[in-house]
Amino acid sequence: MTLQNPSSLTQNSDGDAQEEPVRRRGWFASIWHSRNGRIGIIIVALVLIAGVAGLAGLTPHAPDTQDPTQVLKGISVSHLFGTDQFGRDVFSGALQGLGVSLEIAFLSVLIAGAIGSLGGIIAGFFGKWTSAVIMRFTDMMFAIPSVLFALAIVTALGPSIMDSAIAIGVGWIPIFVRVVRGPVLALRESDFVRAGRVLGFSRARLLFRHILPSVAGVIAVQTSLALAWAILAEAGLSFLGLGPPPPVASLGEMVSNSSSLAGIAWWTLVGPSLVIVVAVIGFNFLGDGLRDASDPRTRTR
Amino acid sequence: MKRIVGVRGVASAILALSTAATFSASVISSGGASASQKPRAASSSFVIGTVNSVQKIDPDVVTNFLDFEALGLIYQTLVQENANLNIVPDLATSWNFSNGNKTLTMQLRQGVKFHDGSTMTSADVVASLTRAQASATADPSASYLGSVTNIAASGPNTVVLTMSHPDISVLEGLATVNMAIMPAAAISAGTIATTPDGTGPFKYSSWVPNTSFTMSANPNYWGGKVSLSSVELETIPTEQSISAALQAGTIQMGLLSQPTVVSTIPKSYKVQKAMTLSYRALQMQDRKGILSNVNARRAIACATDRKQILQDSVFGQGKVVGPVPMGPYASQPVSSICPTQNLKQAKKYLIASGHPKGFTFTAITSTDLDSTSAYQAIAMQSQLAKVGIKMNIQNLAANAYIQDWLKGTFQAAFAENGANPNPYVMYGRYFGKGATLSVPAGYTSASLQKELLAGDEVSTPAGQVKAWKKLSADLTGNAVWIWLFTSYDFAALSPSVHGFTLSPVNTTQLSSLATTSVS
Repeated sequence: MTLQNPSSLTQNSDGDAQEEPVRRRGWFASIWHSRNGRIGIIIVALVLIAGVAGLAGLTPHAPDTQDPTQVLKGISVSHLFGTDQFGRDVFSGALQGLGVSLEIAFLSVLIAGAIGSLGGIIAGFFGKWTSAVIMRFTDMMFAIPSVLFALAIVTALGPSIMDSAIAIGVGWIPIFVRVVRGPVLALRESDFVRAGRVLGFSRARLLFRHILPSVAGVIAVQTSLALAWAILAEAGLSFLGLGPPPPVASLGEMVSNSSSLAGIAWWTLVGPSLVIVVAVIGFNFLGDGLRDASDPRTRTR
Repeated sequence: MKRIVGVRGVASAILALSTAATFSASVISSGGASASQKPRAASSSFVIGTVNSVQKIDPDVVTNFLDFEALGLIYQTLVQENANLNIVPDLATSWNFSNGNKTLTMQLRQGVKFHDGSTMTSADVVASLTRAQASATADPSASYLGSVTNIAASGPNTVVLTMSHPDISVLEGLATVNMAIMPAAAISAGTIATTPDGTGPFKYSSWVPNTSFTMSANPNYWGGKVSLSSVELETIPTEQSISAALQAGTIQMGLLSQPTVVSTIPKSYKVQKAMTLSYRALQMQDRKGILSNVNARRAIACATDRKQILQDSVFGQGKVVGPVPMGPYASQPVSSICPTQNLKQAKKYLIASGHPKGFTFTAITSTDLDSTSAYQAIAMQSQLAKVGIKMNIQNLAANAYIQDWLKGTFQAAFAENGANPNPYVMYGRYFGKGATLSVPAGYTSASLQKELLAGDEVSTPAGQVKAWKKLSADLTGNAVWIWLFTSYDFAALSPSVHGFTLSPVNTTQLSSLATTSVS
């Protein structure tokens, strides 16, 4: 037996819940329906394609190949973002850097999303002692600025892709906990959950088959925003020299290295910065689209 | 509703844009926190921007260039090197060698006062040199006094150094800040490591680690009136920020090493440059691991394109050098096995090493200490990869790098070391018998120790050339380290600064601040 959860219920004029009489869009269509969602999908798709191409080595030039004859060449058809002081193609480096950023961002958000969402669901569903322990723990984590937290972790663990992902992901866990706990508190007292209890459903079944799907939209929105933040955080760590070490390209490190060249070779700075900006904007727009799609009032017509 | 969502979307995008743009904005326009500070009140206080920061304030233990600079304004030595690299008087006014160059007698300057008001005497000099020589002090330059068996006062203004063998290079050793003269009372009281007290033109005022080091004018300076009321060495994270701070008027002088940044400074600012008395090298720990294999090290030496590293790191503003970078004994050729990149030879050495497909090692850098070190590492990493040698790069904060360097807890380290025209002075402390920097040097050889000692004892110019040429050949032939290049340092000055001359001796580059003024 499966209970109908609230996201698919509407209310009649008397306030009674009834089966939704109108056609529902799928998630993708709902996101596409909003302008922000469309922009987000297009940008994120391009960013993902570029990042995967960078990781797969499908770049115009090898990102780490140094060519003394091509030092600090400006933008051209051969070098879309110009070349740096080592004669490396900045565009190819930016693609690889984007791929690495995305890899770290997805890993970190996976860590934060899995742990944080589980923590939020447990904190919202179980008794007040469990909730108090989890929430005080998140309060403690909130007391430390997430960037400082990430800096401390990556300094302790050492710079690598996995360590950067852990450092960034851990800082985002309390945000997922807070965001998920709120809706779960409301859902815990809803009729369909009470009915489930009466029918003798196990806690695990209630949590993962009925409550989790109901907060999936919130988690999805948060995931998109967290991805944008994670890309920025990764770039920040790399900018400070705490990202993956060379020869792996990293957007933040490219910005850092090119800073001394900004006066004579602006393209070495603008290219990687532009990629960061576009990726972050894309995930933010996608987050807006997801938010619209998860809102029953805008998702149905 | 849609309108609200749209506005929110744009707002979030703008927020994202502005946050992401922070990276470029910080380096393009603002110049960092320092540049955003208000211009300081007009006075004769003098602020110097540098990416480096003072790490220690005990002159007998410092190894960081900026520590030498800062403490070189507070402390003085018996003799000093001038811009032509000649030894000239400082706290000693004259000296003579006797007993077959085994006794050095020095006459001290009279009427010199320490910052605490006490008068300098031969007892202070004896106490200072004895402290520098003591193994408990761990003075990195103690090797300079390795031949000295006795330090004694002969009257209030005369000091006599007795040596076990003829050693005229001891004089050059006495010119380093590691041989600073300090009050005997402060040594007894144990306050040297916390409260610098010397005879120099500036007195210690305050030190905020990794932030600033401040000194004030010494009114009792024996060298004459000091115009600047105070000097502050302010740590600014990047050279671009130093340039911006200079143009914003928050600093009066910027110490720079990157020609690309120097080229962006407006012409109204004075820029001085000096070929530094230092060299960049890849130091290797040759006692353990893969780098204990001489042929593995030789493969690195042959796969390295020094000229390209010079080009990539400082845009060719310098010259490729061997172990002895300048002077009559300058290493020529710069390497006895591969003066230029030779990949075929590198592969032969790899085969001889037993690792025909290459090997992996890790090199540390510190952009806090040398902003060009990351560029050196990236360039060399690519060159070594051509023969299958994988060099991992680990960039460390200044204090972590210095700690690892001193303890020798690294495989390889991109280092900037002080140079001297006298090879014994340069390398006695690394490779000589009882060398104080033997651990970071990472290499010990009895034959090298004999060579150094023999070269120091040779008295004829032709004999010295022959001896030191052999030393260069042995150091590069065994690829003890990979010597890379020497480059220029730059000082960018506000138009209001007068009387400053950047010294090529990069442990005393700032010595002319004693006669500098601000209009």
